[in-house]
Amino acid sequence: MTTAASAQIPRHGIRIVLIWLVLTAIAAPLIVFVLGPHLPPGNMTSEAGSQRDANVLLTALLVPIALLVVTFFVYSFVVFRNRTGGIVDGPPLFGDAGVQLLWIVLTGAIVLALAVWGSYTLIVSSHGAGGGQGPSPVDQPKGHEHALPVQVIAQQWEWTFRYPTYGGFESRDLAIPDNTLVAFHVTSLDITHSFWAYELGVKADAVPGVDDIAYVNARHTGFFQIRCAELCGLWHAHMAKKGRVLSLPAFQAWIKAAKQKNAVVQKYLAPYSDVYFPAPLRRAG
Amino acid sequence: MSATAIPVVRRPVWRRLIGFNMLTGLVLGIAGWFLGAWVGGQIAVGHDYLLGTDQNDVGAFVGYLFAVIGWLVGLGFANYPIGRLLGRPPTLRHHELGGWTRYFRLCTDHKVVGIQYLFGVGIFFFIGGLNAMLMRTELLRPIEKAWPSGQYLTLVGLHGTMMIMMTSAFILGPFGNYFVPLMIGARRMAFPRVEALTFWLTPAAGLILMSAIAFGGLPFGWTGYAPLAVEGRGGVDAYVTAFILIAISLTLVGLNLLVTIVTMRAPGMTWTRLPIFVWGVLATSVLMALAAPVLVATMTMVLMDRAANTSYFLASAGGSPYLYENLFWFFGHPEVYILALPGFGIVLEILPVFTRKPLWGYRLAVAGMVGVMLLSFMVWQHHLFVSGMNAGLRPFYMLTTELISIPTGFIFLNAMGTLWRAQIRFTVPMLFALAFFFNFLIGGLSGVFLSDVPSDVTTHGSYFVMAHFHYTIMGGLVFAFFGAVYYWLPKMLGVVLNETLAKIHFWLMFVFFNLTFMPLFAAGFLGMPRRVSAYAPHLQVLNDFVSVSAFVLGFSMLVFLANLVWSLVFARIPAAENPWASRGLEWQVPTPVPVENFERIPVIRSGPYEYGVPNAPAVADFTPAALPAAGS
Amino acid sequence: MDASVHTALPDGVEPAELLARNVRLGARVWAASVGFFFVAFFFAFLYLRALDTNGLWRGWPHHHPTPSMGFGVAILVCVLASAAVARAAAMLEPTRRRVGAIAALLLSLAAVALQCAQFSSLGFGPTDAGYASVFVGWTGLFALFLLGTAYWLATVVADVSGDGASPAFQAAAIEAVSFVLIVLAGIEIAAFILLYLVV
Repeated sequence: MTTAASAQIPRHGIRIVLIWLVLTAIAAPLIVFVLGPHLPPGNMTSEAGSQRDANVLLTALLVPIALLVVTFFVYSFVVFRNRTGGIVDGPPLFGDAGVQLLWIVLTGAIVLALAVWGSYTLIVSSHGAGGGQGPSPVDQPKGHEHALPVQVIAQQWEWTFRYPTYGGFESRDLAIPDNTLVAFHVTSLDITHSFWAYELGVKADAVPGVDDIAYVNARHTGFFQIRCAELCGLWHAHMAKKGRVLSLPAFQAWIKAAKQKNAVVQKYLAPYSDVYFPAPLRRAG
Repeated sequence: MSATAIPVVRRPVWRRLIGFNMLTGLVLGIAGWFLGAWVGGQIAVGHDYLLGTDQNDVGAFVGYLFAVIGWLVGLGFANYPIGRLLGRPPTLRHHELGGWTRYFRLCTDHKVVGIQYLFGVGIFFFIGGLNAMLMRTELLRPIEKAWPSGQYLTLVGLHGTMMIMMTSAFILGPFGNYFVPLMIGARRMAFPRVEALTFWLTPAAGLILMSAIAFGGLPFGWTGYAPLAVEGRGGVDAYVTAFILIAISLTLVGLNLLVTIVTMRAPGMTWTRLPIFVWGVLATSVLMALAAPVLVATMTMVLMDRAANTSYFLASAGGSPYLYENLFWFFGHPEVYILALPGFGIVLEILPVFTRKPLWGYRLAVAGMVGVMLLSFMVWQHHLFVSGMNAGLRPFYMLTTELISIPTGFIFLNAMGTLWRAQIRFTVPMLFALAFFFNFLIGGLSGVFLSDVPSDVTTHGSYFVMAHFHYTIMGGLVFAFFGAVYYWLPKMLGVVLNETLAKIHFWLMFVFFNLTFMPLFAAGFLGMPRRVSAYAPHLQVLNDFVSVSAFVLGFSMLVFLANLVWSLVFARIPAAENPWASRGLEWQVPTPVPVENFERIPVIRSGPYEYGVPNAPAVADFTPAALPAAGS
Repeated sequence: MDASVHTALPDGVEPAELLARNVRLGARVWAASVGFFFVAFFFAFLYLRALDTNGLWRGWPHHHPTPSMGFGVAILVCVLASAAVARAAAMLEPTRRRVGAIAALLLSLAAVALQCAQFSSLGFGPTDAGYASVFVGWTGLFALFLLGTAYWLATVVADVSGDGASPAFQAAAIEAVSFVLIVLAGIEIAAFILLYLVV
């Protein structure tokens, strides 16, 4: 019995690998070429593009891994099931040092490659990938000193935006110019929110007392969704807005109009600052 | 056994209701709440910061404190500490004997505590599940129709908190308490009274958490992010108190199981013969004993911010919301593995029995569990990649997070090796164990997206995260839990569960679990944030599909309940002592298991997984003729 | 392992040797849990001080309030002495354990009493920004843990005085409680350095 069984071992292994190769050969191109272009968050900004690339690559890498495990399991269910109906012992295999070592080396290599690649894309190629980096960003894109600062102020349950280069006026609408590096300075007046501009690929927590900076460079004009991604109380679901990416001349025109429109409230505003400290927050009665 | 030598006095039922039991605990608990609320109110009168608010957090907290004290005193937990001060000799006998009433009072028999946990935690699990059904009802439509958004958020908070609190002890409570002493050859746990305390704190925590509904609800999900928690209404006091109680309970569960496994193993139960489930429990209990106290401290800070007006988390008063996020996730990430590791233990325990093969790569499995345990303390900031704190450390946390997939991968290799050339029997526990691997595979691989910072910027705080952790917790832990239920219930309750209903339960649960949560990855990718009562209209079709699947998933739980009630109350087919022909030590004792498990402490002769080994000795010698020498 | 482990005992209590091992190991795990509890406050101190939000901790003129050094030193001395005496009692011969245990108990209670006295004449309150929050939380909860340990010491005293527990268990129990007290003393040293010496 042992000899017959051991003769079968390589056949099972090769069959599983063949099935897996076929499945992967079908799945991988589908993921990269068919699903890939539709993966979020699109290609509106270079940051969104880098996130989409990460999503495509991870899907293309992880689906074959999942397929390998699933193939092995399903193959085992079919081939190694107990056909006798009684209780029959299987071969007493306690482990195999070679296979275990191979598995550790393989998973270790994949994990290290992922971590190195993830760090590379985060730091070198996408410069923070649109994520909030706090008051002193470490992954800064080229020309960040000349980035257009836009302050995003969260409060329960509204977003407002201030443009310090244009006199610090405050607006309830958000517009940014295309092909210009924009630095979002996200902060909060009360509790923790999270500024999520979906198509821009920007997500940065709005934390009271913190100036959370995220960079973005829009590739083309259009609308984008703004959501709150951190539960902030009663109307969390309704902290949603539409923002606009405008061409530079249209943006200048919008600034002029918005400044005029909001001029009446300017004198009631606190002077522009990185963070704001309203009176200590206590329970709302 | 000597136990039968002590006469049991039969008294009428009404007489048995009086004394230290659950009823007295409830009465004293409620009385304590009123007394405490009054005392706390008196303490707080005249303090400035209460002006302008309509709630008194000091009163709320002192009320809950007195309620818990009343509950515990009514159950009889004060008797022993007072007796100790008076120098009375300790005894457990009167806490272990008695009929069905043992299940409703302080009982130090680990098997009774296990069953108390099974039903206690089970009830709260079903309440949490009901909350999920109500949430999915709301999400049938893109704007609030079924529930106003405040009530919706309370449902979210209660569902999340209830599930996290109760599933933390979902396996260690019922099966850890019941089977660890049986599996290692001990008569009881190291600290039986502490064991009873850990259970009886659990319903107190659950009831207090539910009282949040009456005091204004929870606005913040299960994470309770701090500045929001400090401003929240009275329901937050309930959340804080309940979490403190459950964290104390978890700390003590961990301490108790850890000490039991280290000191109380039978002779011959070497570390390499320890069942893999016990290794899983051991790794989990280390996490519990170390991580849960941090939660107690964190929640105490929230309590002080609310009741004593300190400013740990208020930026404008010199605190920082980041402090809460760091402390919470320093507990919170080990907590995730508190949920996962017992599941690993269960499925690896079930696989060898139904493949009739030894566990493949036992040492690798142990290394995997210990590796996960150690790494889990070093990954917490991956929850905070876009929070704006320590941006320079993101590559480090990306690395540690991805490293965790190496030891987790060991568990998959163990399973694959064990299935290799096996004689697989597709029993119900085996089906649940195999489904665990499928679900956890999806859950684990989707976690890689979240660990990669560029991808996390898209997925953080979206339904993608929500689908990910439901795949690991519900698809992992809850499937492992049901595997354990079907595997061990014949020993625990002594009845056979109906197999047809069990298989219906499995297939409904497996299929509709995947149909519920797989689309939610897409919802997250399409920009739907977590915990919203309203969403973009174009996502309605997706959400309706998910809601309907979720209702069927909920229905599958009713199938399980029906099966349990049918088998336990009506059919009552007695179970065989070892229906699965398992080599596990827990299957070698009679059903029902006698009070002290073993007449004599057995001497372990071989490992629990030596299936197919020619001439393998019996797993243990239950009547050791010659006692082994001291020190063995 | 002792031979008596193998048979059931009439009062449902495990053999003294096993109980002794349990209480020794249990105390070590408990001490680790207590340590992780106070790690949260340790972290809170360093973190809030480093962030210095709204300039309320380090910045001039918002320098944080200072508690009285005299009470601080007195509490520190009491806690350290309690741990040392308990440790010594664990090493003493059985007949003299009682005196040591009682002395350690009184010293712990004195530390708690001193803490209460300090709170009643603090000069600032929990509302006075980050430092005050950490100070009140850390010292208050430390006193609470010390009180709990004092209860444990009281049971040890009761054991040593009466004849309820076996000598082996008595020795283990006092050793165990002294271990927890030593860890608490370590936490108190950290608290003293951070809360009183660091500006």
